[in-house]
Amino acid sequence: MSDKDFVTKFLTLATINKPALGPDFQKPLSEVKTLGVALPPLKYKYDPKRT
Amino acid sequence: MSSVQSSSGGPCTPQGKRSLERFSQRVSKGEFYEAHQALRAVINRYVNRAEYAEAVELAAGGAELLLKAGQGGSGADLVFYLLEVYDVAGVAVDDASVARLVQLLVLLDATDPTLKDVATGMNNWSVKHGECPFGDPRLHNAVAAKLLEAGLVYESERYMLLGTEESLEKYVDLLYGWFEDAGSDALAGDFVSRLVFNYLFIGNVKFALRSSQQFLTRYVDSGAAGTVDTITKDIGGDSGESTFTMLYFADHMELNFLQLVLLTCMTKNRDLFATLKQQYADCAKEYSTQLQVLGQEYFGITAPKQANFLQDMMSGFLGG
Repeated sequence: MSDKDFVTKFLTLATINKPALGPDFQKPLSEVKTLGVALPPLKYKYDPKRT
Repeated sequence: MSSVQSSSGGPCTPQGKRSLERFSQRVSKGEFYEAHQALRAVINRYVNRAEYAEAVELAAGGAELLLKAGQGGSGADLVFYLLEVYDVAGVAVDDASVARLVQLLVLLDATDPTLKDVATGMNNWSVKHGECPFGDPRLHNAVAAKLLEAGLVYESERYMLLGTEESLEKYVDLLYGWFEDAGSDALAGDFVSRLVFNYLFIGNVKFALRSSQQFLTRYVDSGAAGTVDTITKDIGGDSGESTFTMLYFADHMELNFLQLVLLTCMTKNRDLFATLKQQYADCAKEYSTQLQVLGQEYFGITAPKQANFLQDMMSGFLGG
């Protein structure tokens, strides 16, 4: 299946029902107990002098 | 319990006001050391008498004057003293107590060697005396800006993530600017994935959606993204936002994958999650650690235990 076909079908399938978590869902920061895993640093250098 | 009243207009008593005036005069004459020591002694007396509101105002006012005079070392010392008083007095995290710290943080020079310690000290207080296990979001927003100014980009990112809506805007700006600077070899997915995963890790669907869409829209508008189709799906929300918009990139599979990861987490549907990983095997491999975390958070998939040969053997012997 091509990527486009997959995406189209997947979107249809994933949106048949109302999602368990709506697009406005935010767990309150007072309830956040873990931060997941630290992402690896980017392989592009950050220039602190940029404005 | 906090006995410190929030006040906006300097020390509460005429006595305190006089102390600060004397201090200010000495600072303006360049007698920094003497002024600093004298004020510390005065604050100390207030602390010993448990007159914390006064001590807070003097420490904050003194630190402000020293920082404005370019005296980072003694200014930071008074900031630490202020935090000590906050702690002893049990000052709770609220608008006034946070604003006082934010104001001082803004005045601190980004090159000050104590910057990270000041930031950590402030955040530790907000962890201990506030509701958020990682500290206060308003404080994080200010800390993130200052750390970024100092070039401490990954430390800054961490605070942005746990910040306010304003921090989200800064986070997108940071990553998009970085992406542009990195030039034509840079992959948008490397940057967008940080927004998607970091916000999903802390259960913030709203910010994951908003930040990734802002980033991708800017990418599309730049004209460098190639062919893009916009696909909108109704997701039947009761009020507010009730559609899911996907930007389909003909030339960037990874960007499609990342947007679908986000949607799939919203559904909490384990089968969809499996299908998605299967279809995008390369991406799933690249982001396997991140997907494992999401698997636990959103789909209740427990991570496979590390193989422990000895333990397996023992439990085998014991019939467990």
